[in-house]
Amino acid sequence: MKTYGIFIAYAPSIDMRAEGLGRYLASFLKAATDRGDAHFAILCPSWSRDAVVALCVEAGIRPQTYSLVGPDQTPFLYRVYRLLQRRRETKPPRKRSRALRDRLYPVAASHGEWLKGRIASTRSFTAFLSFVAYGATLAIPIGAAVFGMRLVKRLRATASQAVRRALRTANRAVGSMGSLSLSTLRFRLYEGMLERESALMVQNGNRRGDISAWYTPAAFWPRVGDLKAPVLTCVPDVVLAEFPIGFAKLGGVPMQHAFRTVANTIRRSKNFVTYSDHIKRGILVEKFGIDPSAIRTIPHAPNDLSRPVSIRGFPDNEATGRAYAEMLLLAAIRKASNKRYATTFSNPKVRFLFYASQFRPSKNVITLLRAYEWLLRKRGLGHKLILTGFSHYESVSTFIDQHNLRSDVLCIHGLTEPELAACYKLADLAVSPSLSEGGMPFTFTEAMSVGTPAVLADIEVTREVIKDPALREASLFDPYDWQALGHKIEWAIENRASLYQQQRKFYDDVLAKRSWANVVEEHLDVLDRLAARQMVAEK
Amino acid sequence: MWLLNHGAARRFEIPMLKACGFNEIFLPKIYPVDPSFRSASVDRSEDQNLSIPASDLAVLNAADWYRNPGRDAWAVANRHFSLLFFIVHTAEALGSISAHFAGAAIWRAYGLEQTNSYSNIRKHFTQGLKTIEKLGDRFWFGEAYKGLHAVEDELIQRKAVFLPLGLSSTDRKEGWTGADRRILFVCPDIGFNPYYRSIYEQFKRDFASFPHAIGGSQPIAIEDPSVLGFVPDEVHDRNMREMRVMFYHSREPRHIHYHPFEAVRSGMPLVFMADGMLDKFGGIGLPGRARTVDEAKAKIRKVLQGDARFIDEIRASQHVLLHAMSPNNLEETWRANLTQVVERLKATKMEPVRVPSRKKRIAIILPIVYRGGTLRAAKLLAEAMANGSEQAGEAAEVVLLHLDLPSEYSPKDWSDLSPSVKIRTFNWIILDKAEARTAMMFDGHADWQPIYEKYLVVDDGVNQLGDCDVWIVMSDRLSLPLLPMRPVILVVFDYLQRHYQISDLEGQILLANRLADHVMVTTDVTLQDALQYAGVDPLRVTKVPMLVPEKGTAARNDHSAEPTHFIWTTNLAAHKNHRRALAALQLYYEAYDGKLSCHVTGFGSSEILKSQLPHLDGLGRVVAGSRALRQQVKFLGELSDEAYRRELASSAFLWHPTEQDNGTFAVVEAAHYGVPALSSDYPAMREMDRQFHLGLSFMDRENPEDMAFQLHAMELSVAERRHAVASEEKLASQSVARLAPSYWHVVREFV
Repeated sequence: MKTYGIFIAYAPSIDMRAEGLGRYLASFLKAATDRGDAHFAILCPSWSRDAVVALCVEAGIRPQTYSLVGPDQTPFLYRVYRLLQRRRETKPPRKRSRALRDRLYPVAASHGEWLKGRIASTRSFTAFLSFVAYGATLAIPIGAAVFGMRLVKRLRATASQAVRRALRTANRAVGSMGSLSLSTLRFRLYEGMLERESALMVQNGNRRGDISAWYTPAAFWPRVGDLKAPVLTCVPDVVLAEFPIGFAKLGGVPMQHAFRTVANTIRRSKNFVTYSDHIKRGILVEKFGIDPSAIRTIPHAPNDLSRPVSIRGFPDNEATGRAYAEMLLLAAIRKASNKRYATTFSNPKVRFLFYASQFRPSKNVITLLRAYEWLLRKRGLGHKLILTGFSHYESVSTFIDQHNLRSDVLCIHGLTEPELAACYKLADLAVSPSLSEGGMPFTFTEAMSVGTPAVLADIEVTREVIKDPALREASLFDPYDWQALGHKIEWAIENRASLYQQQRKFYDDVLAKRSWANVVEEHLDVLDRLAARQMVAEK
Repeated sequence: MWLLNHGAARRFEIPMLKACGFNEIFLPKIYPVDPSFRSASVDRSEDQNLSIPASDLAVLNAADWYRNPGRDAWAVANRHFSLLFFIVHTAEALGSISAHFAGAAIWRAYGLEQTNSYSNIRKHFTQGLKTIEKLGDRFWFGEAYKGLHAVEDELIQRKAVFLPLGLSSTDRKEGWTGADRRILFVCPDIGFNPYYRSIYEQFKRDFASFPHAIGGSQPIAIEDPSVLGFVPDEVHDRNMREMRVMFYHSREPRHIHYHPFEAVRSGMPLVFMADGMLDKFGGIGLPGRARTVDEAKAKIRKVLQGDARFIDEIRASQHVLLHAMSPNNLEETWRANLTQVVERLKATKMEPVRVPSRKKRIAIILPIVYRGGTLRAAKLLAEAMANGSEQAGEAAEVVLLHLDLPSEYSPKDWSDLSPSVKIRTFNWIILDKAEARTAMMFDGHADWQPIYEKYLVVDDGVNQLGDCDVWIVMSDRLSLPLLPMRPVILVVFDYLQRHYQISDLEGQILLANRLADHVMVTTDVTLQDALQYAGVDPLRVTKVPMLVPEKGTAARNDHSAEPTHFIWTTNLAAHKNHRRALAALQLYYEAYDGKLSCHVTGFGSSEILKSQLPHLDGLGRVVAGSRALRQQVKFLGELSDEAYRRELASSAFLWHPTEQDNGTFAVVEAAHYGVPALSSDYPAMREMDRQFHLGLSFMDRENPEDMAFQLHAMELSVAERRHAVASEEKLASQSVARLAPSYWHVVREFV
């Protein structure tokens, strides 16, 4: 059995299961370990160990087929960070005083009831006075205690507010003097921690003599170049270079850093893999001057989302599956950022267009919104538009507000895989207006796998896969022309069945023929060749 | 009526009912399309034993008893059946049984997980509104295991009747070999049910190191080779014969599965956790009982290692668990307890509570001041309710309510209504949470809890509409939720707020739609908006045909005098498209040399040129700057009905340049006078044109050039257009009397 290495160094805050690259890695590992002839040593930062294991468990990867390499104890700074995070995320623990109060309250209440009964029913003036005096005697210390506790609570809240305000003022003052701001300081510390962690990882990786070659699924980590065994670096895309202004407006120091890191990683790497020829030629060769012979293009396999919404064993599996998907859809809609609108939304059969990606400058979401607004207001299309991006993205939220679309464009972030699959399944149409991707958008195969047609931006990476002119004509649109997108959506909905049939044939005949096993095989083939070449060189 | 579809329960309970003397049993033929109904199936075998007419059986078989099957199905059920078993899957079913079934209804309870109760389920579905309370003594809580009622609220506790669940047969099967050295653990629905998912994960944590197989149907495939998923009967039988041991995890005090009993019947050793329901079945002291997971592991290990003595010990003793499931042991309990139910029903029927019967009363509420179209629609609806209920032989009284504002409404406004429709004035009053809770409690909704801070109530100066059986609100313009003391039906004409910023109450209006028991709409486009925009459950929306004013005294003009004007009916609302309309008029007069003057009528139309509203601002300057517009366009304002009809009858045609809405009555009224109409081309007007055969001409509402061109074309071809207008017979076919049954059909389900 051969052992290959995988190098990843995601930031501590990244939830790999929610990231495209994380899901890609899971599919890759699953197919690779299912072969039975390869073991994978995953070299990762100490803080990612749990996340990697969780990712593997969720993907059904057998524990004996992989091992974790790298430092196992997390840096002290990271532990402090986690502690602060946890305090922020978790609900404050139930106070002991609360528990005591809960126990005392019923006793006090029932005693109060008893006293009330006595005062109300006594026939003796002396007894009446005694009970009243007794009540007053009890009330004074209890009242004082309650008052005292409330006072302490109020003082504490005021003090903590003052401290927060002072910190903010100090941060602003330091920032205005041109010195480090708190966020920059935090970033610099993180940078230092990552740098040191990566160095330790490389040391650990280089100690493993059994690893013939390394694969790193993203070009985010320049340190990978320090590994002794040959490294195959995957470059999914370099969107920052394609949308300089859009990303510059998003980013500041971290975005600059990301760009430098990617450029640095590419410069320090010798062997590359991309998902498409477009990235190979247009980015690596033209922009970074990489020798084309050092780059191998290995396209994706389809992303099949059917499993979580496919029902078996019922008289009508299709109808039952649909009913189940509708239930998931309602749960998904209730996650929409417009809570007021979404929480009581009750139509599980709502018709909608679906955009399943994050919001970034390269994703061309405004074009989709413009087309949708035209369809809704001018063409009488009653559909909703469901987007999976985070609603706080400024240009999108501004557009939605300005065009009074808060009730029709729903931003639903943080979907589970079954919810995502249900959204795809129940959508009338999936749309990907993205101007730049590493390979053909997953939108196509994800939608196809659950029976929904898709329309995609006519971009190079998609044309590499969809070559048939008739299918291109039916499925692609000019992403720079919102009206073209509007017309395409209108046409696709009117001709939904025939479009799906046409696309499904292509999916079945061509795309579904390729599996993650093929993708893995091609990667392992490259890794083996790199290892062999190194051995020859060393001899 | 045994309104369940659970296969294993049916195999036991139908024979048991027959043993108790119930020989005619109806079984439902439709059950929910829902992955949680994994054990459900349809059984038609009992149909042959029913002596009811075939047509009645067909009605029952076509009804969905898990939702609201409708009054007609209930009428059939009440004719032939006196005992009904049901489970609660939807709010509609619970409400429907409670409102319509005249016999004894038994809520069949098979137990729930510890954190849940039937009282919670009832509250979840009814929101605390009274349902089964309406059944009075005819309601029963049919618990399948003794003591299920212990955690329920007082009503359920009081009405508990023990109808134990058993097995169709408890005979021990021979042939267990235990040759397959694995644990059989049954855990269905792992892929979508969080409860079972956590049980599965716990089992995996505890028993991963033991050889095991996980049975139970898996509608969603699970990527775990130890999960068997669906297996054919022969494989299932083989598993029960050959698997070495079954582990039963549940410590639930009020719920048990079928499979541990199946294992016992098959002779398979059962290792189970203590403190669950098996203890109540005689499990305490059995060798297969384990107090902790470690103890269970130790026992399972012994069985897997082939400790024959221990295996025999478990097998020999565990049959005691089946005693309480044996049909022979349970028959007497069923007989005795069902007799109690039947006797009570007989007593109720012999001494029915005499409530003086009165006609059902329908309230139709105009929630804000409406003039024009909505006011007419309210009056037409009132007529339709009275007429439709009469035609159905269920004559109802209709009360039409409008705000108590003498400056807005006069008696003349109602003079054209038939005398059977009563008019009341009202004011809105607001109840705070506590008042709302109290009022609802007094009305019999003991468990109802307010969700919102304030509620609206109609104060009609009588009994706050307590005398009416259903409240129909014309439109969804409610500033707060209505107190849900009676079923609420909204009649919604449009959702213009989807496209226009017309109200600050958008959220409240949406809420009104979603809280209503039902929504009626009159066009497809509004139906789509109700579903797509308002997000109303499709089962709670009905499209009914549009009602329009009838001919009345209108007579078709003989057009002896050549008309000199056309009519534009409008108001100040943004969707009326004033800017483009005036641009079109300017083109019509200046570019096309139009000859017909334009008479602008409608509520507020005299204010169009002076208005500061953003969509009207500057229109005065447009008219002032055009001599043709100044001379030819006359803003007449709101006319009396007579004056308007005179204007209409003498006009060449009616012009309707609105951007979009739910359609306008004006074009039908024009047709009664033989006057053609030129309308903006939008879906609701196309739909009206189809329903009433109006012969409308259309224009592009966004293109003043086309609007002017079409005006000119109307002027040139007015005689031909008149011929295209619907005949009087065709219009008569859409009379209120003809369309009223569609309305009553919806409303009668709520009274």
